[in-house]
Amino acid sequence: MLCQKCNKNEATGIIKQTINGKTTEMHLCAQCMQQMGFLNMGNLAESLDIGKIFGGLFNMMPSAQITAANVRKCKMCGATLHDFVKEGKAGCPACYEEFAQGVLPVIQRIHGNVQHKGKIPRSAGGEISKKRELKELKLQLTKAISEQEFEKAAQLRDRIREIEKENGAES
Amino acid sequence: MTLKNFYNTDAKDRDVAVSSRIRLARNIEGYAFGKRLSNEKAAEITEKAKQIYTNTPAMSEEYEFLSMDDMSENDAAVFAEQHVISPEFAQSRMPRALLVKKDGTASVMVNEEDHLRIQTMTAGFELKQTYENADKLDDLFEGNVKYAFSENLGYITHCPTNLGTGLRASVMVHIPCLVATGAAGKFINAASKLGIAVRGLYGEGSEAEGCFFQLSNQITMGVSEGEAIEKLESVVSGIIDAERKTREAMIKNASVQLKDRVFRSYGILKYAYSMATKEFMQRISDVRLGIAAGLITDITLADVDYLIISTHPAAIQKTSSNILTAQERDVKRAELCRVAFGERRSEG
Repeated sequence: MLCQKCNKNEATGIIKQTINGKTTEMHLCAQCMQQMGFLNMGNLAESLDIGKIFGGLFNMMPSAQITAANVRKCKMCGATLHDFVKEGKAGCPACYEEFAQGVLPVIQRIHGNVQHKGKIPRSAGGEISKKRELKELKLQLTKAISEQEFEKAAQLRDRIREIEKENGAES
Repeated sequence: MTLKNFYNTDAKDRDVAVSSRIRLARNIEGYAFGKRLSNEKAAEITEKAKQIYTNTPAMSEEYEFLSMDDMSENDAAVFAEQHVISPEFAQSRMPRALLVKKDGTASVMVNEEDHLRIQTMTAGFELKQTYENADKLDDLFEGNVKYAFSENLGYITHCPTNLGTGLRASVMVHIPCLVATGAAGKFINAASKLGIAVRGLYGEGSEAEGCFFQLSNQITMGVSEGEAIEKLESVVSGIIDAERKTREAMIKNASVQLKDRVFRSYGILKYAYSMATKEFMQRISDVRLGIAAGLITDITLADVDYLIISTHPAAIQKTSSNILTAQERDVKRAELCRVAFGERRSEG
């Protein structure tokens, strides 16, 4: 049987992949196998470009949305949303923020989630926990006011101002 | 670097689990990805990695810093065969560097798909400890560079499929009996429904060649590192258990057939003078099963796992100063097998 990729050489191996319950099978020659990043034994996760497969998810994005956003370029790397979609990969870290609107639904489809849970780098950790504290304090403040606990509200207000002042000083 | 020690450790559940791996994808703020990263900027990243290596005593003692640009193609291919680096990384032409622990249990690819790919590996089934090792290495880099990280999206990665924890945990399993009974397909489907990807490479025509599969988590967002690892662990434990039960049943009910298959392959590996990769994988898989089932005692699982990585094409090429043809490699491969099988026997 001929290689299903190049249709030239004799296929010497079968690559089978099962992702999300769907199994695909390809007969390949050694050359194409190597080109596609497969080694001759126990190919590992790293040797398969998952991005290429999941990149298809981008095609589910409404084309109007892609065209409209085509013009805007990422301030850092110059990539457009169209580039992001076509390549299935970000141009730089800033692209995720720049094109959040177009990309977040795709991330939701890939992972079923758009909120990170897990390790936080120590450098970013301080900032994030302050943000979380601020959010929590503001909630408590609204509650204290509605329950007419003014003394508590005053304390909370002071704490919020303190944190906001610290953040302001940093940025 | 030598992997001999790596494979010679006492490893948990080695009868079924060959090795456990953790990969963390990390990127540095302010640097573009892939083709948008200029060679100058890529070189800046490798320089940063080199500084971290030089300025961290524990690292300069235990690791080697290798510039991939100075490495021969065949040496890079050997690293890829050993799963220390990815095949893409071996072939890429961007300024790259590799930090590799001398005992083969950890590596950092600089300028792979992501700026940093931290990898740790352990023989057998040992995900938690392997993750802890990766976590420590990650902390070390984090103290020296500013990672691209967002409160919502977590660790920012080139490909959206790695966003969040950037963690890929994987276990390589050897399940010849589940394949022989046709039950492997069922397990593969069940695992993939749970968000675990299963990959294996089959030789020509038959699905029974090798019987090595890799299981890994797919989801990295909204799931903590611990949760992702526990889920993979429970799926792998289920497969290990099923393979062992099937082995027991086969030993009980098909003892002659099993012994015939195992010892036929043992004999061929021990005496053959030419051994193509395809046949080798079939035979070594049978022998690995024979050792796990207690039928073969003069060669160990560690020897077999080491033999597998030492008989890949680039590894064999490395032993010779001339460029070898496929046929010449087959002769060399058979020689390595005879040595591995013969030496043990004379010792025992």
